[in-house]
Amino acid sequence: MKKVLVIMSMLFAFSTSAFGYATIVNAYKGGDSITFDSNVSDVEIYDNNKPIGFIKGGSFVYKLKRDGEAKSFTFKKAGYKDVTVVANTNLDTVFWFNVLGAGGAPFFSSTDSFFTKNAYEYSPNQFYVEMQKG
Amino acid sequence: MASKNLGPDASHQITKFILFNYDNLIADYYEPQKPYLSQLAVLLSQDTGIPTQNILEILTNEALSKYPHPIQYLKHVDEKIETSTGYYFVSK
Repeated sequence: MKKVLVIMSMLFAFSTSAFGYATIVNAYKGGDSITFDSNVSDVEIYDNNKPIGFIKGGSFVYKLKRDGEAKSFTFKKAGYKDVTVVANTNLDTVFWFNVLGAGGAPFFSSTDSFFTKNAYEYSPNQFYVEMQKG
Repeated sequence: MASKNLGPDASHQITKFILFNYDNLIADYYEPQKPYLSQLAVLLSQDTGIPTQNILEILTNEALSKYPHPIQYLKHVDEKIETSTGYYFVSK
């Protein structure tokens, strides 16, 4: 009987996704990187009204802690209209969905984001923000 | 002659098409059939009035295939189109 139980528990363990999804496990430790690009240079970026950096010619990479809270990023440049991107982190749902063997949950991205017409999330966690003169 | 913006709706549509189809657009440079570059040429042709074939000749310039990042590719397509036709879609 013991042997049967051991074999059954092993089969169950291997049939679930408990051994995969290293990316999501890693997210507990360090969060996710979000990359922002813009059509113009010298754009100031604010995280919930706190300045966090500049886009200067290239991309700006920011580590986003997955705490389940919505993060609002605002892009500002003198002479241009402000653009806001809201990224809502949702680690727990995805993590437990995976552990319980429901598959890769392809319809969840690591951030579930809302943005205006001038911001594009063209691949997971990669944003292009188009500033327009105002 | 001053360059002319394609307008917000057309610019949005073209930007979105390039960013979301970047991999397919780059793949088209190495294939005999070029469905994604042709579609982009049609979008640009609609709003500039320049014949699709002329736009496609600009887009199939091999130098454009060398940009390894969607944003760089987007900006260089915009520059190339502006230089050749006087129209641009990325806000300055």
